[in-house]
Amino acid sequence: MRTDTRHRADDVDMGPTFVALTLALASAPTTETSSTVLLSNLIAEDLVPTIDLFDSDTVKLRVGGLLQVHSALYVGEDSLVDDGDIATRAGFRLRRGRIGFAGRFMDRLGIYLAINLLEGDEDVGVVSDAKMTYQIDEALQVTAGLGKVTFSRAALDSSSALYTIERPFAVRALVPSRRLGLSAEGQLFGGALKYGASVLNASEGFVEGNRFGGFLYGGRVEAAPLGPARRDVVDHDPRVSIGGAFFYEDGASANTIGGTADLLFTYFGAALQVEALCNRLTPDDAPVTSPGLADRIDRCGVYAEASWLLTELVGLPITPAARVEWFDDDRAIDDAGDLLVIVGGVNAIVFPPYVRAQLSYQHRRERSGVTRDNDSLVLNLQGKF
Amino acid sequence: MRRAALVLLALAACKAETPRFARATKIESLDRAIGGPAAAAKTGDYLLENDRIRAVIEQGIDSRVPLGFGGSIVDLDLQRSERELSAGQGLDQLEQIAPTANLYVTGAASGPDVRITTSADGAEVTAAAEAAPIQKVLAAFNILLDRSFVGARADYDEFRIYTEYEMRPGESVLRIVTTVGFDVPFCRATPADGCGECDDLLYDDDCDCASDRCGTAEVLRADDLPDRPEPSGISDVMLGDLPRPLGTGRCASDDDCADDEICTDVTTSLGGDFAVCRAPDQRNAGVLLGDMLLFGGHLSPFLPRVGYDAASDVRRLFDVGKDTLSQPLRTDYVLAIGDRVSYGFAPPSGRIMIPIFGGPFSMGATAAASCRRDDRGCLAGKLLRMERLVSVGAGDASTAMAPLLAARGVTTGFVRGVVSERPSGDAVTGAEVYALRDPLDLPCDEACQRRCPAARPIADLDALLHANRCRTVTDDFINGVAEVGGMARTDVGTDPIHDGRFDLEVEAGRWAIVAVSPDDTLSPLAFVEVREGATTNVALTTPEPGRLKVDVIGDAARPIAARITVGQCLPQNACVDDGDCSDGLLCRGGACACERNVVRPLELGGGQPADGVVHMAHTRDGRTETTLPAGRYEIIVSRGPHHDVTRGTVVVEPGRLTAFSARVHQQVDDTGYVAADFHVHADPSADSRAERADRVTSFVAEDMDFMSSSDHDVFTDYAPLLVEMGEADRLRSQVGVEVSTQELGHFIGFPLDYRVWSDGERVPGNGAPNWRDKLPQEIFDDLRERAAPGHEVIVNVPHPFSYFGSYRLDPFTIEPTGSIITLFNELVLEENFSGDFDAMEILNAKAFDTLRRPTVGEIRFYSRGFDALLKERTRGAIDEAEFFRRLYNLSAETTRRTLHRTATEQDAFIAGVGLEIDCRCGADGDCASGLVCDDVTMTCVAPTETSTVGTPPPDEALCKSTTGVVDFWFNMLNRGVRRTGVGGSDVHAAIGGFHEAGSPRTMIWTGENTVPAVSSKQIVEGVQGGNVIVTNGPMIHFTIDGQPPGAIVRGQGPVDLHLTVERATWYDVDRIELYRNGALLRAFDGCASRRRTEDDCFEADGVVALDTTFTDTPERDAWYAIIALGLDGRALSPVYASAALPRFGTLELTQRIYDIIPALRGLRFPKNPSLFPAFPFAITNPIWVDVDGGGFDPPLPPPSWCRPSTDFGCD
Repeated sequence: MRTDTRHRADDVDMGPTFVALTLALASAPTTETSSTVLLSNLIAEDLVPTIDLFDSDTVKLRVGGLLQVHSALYVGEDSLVDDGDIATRAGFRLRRGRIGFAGRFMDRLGIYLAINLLEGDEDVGVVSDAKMTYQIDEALQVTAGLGKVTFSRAALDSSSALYTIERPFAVRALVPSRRLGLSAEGQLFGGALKYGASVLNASEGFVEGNRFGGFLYGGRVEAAPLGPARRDVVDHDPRVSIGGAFFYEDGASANTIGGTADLLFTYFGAALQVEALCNRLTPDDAPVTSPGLADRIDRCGVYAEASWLLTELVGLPITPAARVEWFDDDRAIDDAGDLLVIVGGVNAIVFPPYVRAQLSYQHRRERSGVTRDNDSLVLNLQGKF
Repeated sequence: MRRAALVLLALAACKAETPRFARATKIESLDRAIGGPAAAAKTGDYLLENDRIRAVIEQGIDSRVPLGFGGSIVDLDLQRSERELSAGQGLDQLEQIAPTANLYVTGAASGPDVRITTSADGAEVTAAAEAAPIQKVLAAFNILLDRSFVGARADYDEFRIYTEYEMRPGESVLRIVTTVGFDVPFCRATPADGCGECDDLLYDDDCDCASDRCGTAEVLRADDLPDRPEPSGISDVMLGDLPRPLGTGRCASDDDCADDEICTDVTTSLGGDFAVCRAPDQRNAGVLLGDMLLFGGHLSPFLPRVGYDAASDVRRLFDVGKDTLSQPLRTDYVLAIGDRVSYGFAPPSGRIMIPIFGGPFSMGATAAASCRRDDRGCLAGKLLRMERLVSVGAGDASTAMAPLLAARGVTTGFVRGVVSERPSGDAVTGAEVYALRDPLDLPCDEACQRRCPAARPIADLDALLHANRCRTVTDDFINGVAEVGGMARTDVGTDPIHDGRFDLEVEAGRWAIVAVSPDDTLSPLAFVEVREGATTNVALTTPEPGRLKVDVIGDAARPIAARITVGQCLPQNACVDDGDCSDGLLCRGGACACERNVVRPLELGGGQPADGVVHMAHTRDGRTETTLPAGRYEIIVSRGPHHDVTRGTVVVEPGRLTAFSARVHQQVDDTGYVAADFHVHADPSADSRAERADRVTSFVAEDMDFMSSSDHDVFTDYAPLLVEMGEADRLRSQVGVEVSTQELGHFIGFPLDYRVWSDGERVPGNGAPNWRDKLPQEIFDDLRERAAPGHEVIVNVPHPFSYFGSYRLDPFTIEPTGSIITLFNELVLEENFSGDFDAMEILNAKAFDTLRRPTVGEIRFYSRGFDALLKERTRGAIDEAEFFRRLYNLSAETTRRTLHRTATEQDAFIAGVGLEIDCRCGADGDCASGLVCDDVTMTCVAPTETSTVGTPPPDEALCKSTTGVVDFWFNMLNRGVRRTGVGGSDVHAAIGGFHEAGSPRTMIWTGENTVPAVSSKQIVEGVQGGNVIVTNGPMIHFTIDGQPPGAIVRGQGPVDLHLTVERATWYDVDRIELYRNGALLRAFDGCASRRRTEDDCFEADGVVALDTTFTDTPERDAWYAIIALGLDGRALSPVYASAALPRFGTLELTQRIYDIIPALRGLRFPKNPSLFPAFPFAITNPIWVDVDGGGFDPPLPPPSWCRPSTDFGCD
């Protein structure tokens, strides 16, 4: 039986030229680890536990942790975290702090729980992910609980494996946040095709259930005809992964429909990931609005991110990366929410697989309105186990 | 267990008991001062403290308090042992107490004026200096006064005030002794005088030494003075005994008087024509001694017997033709209740006369001295001395009053007990426990018994209050009083044990005890007998409230900031009178509503009910929870005037949670505009108790984009707080200030440079300018010098008639005309007026009554209607509640008529019809008793002086004396004066009331750069360019050739004026007016308007009220502006509160005095309709059309004060 193909390098036919030096040690669990827990085919969790708490023939239980500390070396005067920037002022920032548990019972049943140590409110509590998975077959596993929505490729990447510290603006704005509900996923043709489908609450949070009513329906399909494409390995064969997803959120006061298409191409450690996302938000109840006021909001973004895993340059896995992003937060209006963002930086696994360092410069330009001084240079240190 | 804990606590308390002491020191650093929400101490001031309380006596240099001349109390608090409340972090909530004599205060502005004295008996801070008038204009009284009491040889202007502040160990009382002398030297006796060592500045009780050098004067103690004339008031003391009613008893010569009487001029100095007959034993003018009690916004004034609502008593007297200047309220004590601190004020014996009482500004007169007519000069060479006591309590009336009672030697009894909730039994902390007189214990003769029957059992609090009021009607309290004997709070102050206990100290007698929980639930009445020195125990229970939880989501299906309004009998459809309502509803304030119950009486701290609203809240995260007494409630969830609302009904049950979910959608298109407010107060202002975080929440919930702080004389920076609250991406801010002068009006400046420290020293007011003795231009220049780096400063005149009125700007020529005030205050000389400001408030809060200048007909309509209502009440045809309901409707209708401007009225305005009409009154009731309103001149005259020639002015004439900001602004525009019209909410409270966050708002066109990208610079440019619409709701999209308001369009021939007016679907717009050069070019009426005169009308199409293009061909340069109004349809109330409290300030109060002082008659104005719902209103700034391309040529010549850099035709 197969589990977690996304993180299992040994399941992939990498060919003789495959360099088994993986950033996955930093960005994903070890092969051994992932084999003991039951995780998603599509979602790379932010935290994958690696330390055994309990291990028997029928029960395995692991714990893990993730810590990210930013040191903002330069921050423009107008920069604001609330505005989506990486930092508000120069200095240190505790970006993420999580602890998680993963368990596997009787081979087919898995439990995953991740606690966000930095946040907690009445709606979302401190739980980041909480789900139970039952695997019927490689082609079908059913999950109930709280977690990421299977939509955007960038959103499904682990936050511990990002090359640019933060996800693209468009992803943060257009992708539904973590939701509670049911999902089914699986892979076919030896992993060449993956799918996921979900029925989730339209409301965030879990403490009060579906607080405002309504449901979110979504699905994603990913095809990798040449074998799994991964950015964290040096693969001497070209790989390509194509994905597409949609969702429809029948919310309490608005309906949102969104779609995305993405492509990941890798070759010899170099990777190019391109994704385009759009969504349309339409208030329901047919509210009476001004003729001059769009009664729906169309938002789109596209980004291209290139990276190159250099394994032998300084004896450490070094990955320079750059991203260009175009984002329009309201197609009907030319305003300061129309962005062109350029991010560049370098990533290194300092103490594999536990400590990783990233240096990233972000230039954000408002395509309409006054350009603000909100560039930043940030050093991120990440520890995980 | 509990008992053991209490014993241990008591033992600990005994062990830790602070030794008794009293000391005075000069404050060298602010951690030695008191601190607190209203703290004003600065280094160099004086701290006077004992083991119980602390006080700060201010030094006048750089003072920031309103009467900042030095020598007054500015901070006052208990000694606090809690770590978080010590070291300059106390709970002072007092603004200022300033000893006064004839409206002068001590001007102790230099070091030698204030001294410290200590002795074994206590510590003193003494202030002595030449007296300074509270306001320069009040120096007028010195001219008006008959000065004969100082004797023929004394120089009245050598007027000194000397005040000792003394604290004795172990007392919670500050003792104040004020000595006043006219031309009597104050000097410090020295050994050279043969006096030995004497620290005091003046010989007194502590330093009994008479020095020839210093003069020897007889000291008259106020308590011993024979004359506390009854009835007496400020008018009697300062003008001499006057016949009642005020204005009557006038004489022309001695022939009009009895044999022993003399016809005495009261206002001789100003050529007065008011003379009265005065007998030998009647008093001439004299000296009034007392204190200005500036409680500020953090305190709620409270009077024994009356409770919290003395303001209504003052207004009732005024309504029936009396005034508290002539007939002051009298009481033994004045109290002020704050958060964990309270204050008491009383003379050691006798009573206090209260001519002005209510809100932040009160006066307590404790003594008076004057000479009999046949003993002129009786006070020559004498010193007058009065004593007062100021106490500090823990946050209720009882703890503030107890030290005064003890100091006055009054014996009392005690009511002790606990308040718990029923049925849970939980202790209720913060409940207020009131002792109200048992009505059967009140003296009541046979007539009273017939009029006010009362028998046991007394059903409830309403019945008890009604009986008490009925049995206590006097000349002072014409509606009686509640007979509140005391108020205590459970777990008062910082009591850490929340067990619901209270201690209530009251005089002996039978009392009804009632508890009011913080949720406004009432306990049943408990009748107790209180004996002197004895304690009576009671246990009170209040019903358990229910909880109401509200969730709000917005367009993006996410929780969203919003406002929640909960009430009973909320307004429904609009009405003018009861005939417009059905189903048993009555017309209340312009909207039909059912009968509303009073949740908590005003006397017991209830709010003035507006629109039936019982609870309001802002939520920042789309969720709020509150407790409410059980019952059925209507609920409205809103998010500013450009979103729709959700309405619903909920039933709240005791102890249970009721949930309500709401959605709000944006309806009105305000794309490209920034919703800004430049008139924003929070707790840095002495008259606001709203916390800054609540202010931010209110702005976010009202869908505002930009807030500009404008606290009184202090800079406030919201930017760090916005970041901390995570709202920086939704709301931008800048630093501003409201320079709040005493006599020139107020001025707002922004954006400014916020500076807390400079060279290691605290910057006063965080950089705010000091306005004292500065001309307007100097203040403007000072503001501009304090610009935020890289910015230009906008100077904005809020509620502009406070400034324009100081210079008596003629409403037609807009030139300063000067007034009597210039005799006393050269700052307001005509030549000192400056037009160097950039903007002015067109609409301040809900001041609809000052928006348009009323016509003669409208003034008559209101004044005559008011008089008719008053007659009905006087003869008993209607009770007070019905009187106010009808008055509300009358006032609302008058305001509608005033706001509805016809072409005829506007033509009259342009032609200056009414220029010659004073319009000082509209009916006889506007005038002091004994005078009538002359129909022709519309002034108050004696009945024999009414006009015999001339005809009454036409109804459409516009009165000169009344205020109309829009009319004034139009006149400015016609004269080429370009000043951007802005709106200002002037918000002070956290929520609700007359001033509410973002209502009105200034919509500034910024195009592509809206929040969060918009900057202060763009805001400044938008205001400078006049790209502004002022609105409290409707949105006007107005362009000419695609150009927005503020633009100058060049070219001849027809111009197309494109006009779209939108409104959210929960309020109506039914009148849209298009103006060209001030003339009403075209009016569009809604089909539902009651005032429609033509068949042509508009029906709103969803959100769009009107969408049209109007073509005009101006023959000369022209400016165009639009006004949109909702008059007869649904108002913005109750989401935005109606003006439910009749405006009654010092100006209204002093009206009665004006009539007897000819020089002041020009300051009076007719009654003001100040009750109305929140009418939807919007106005654009003008679009200028330059027909000949040679620059805009204004229709009228500019005023002398125009500004060449911006104004048209100002060469």
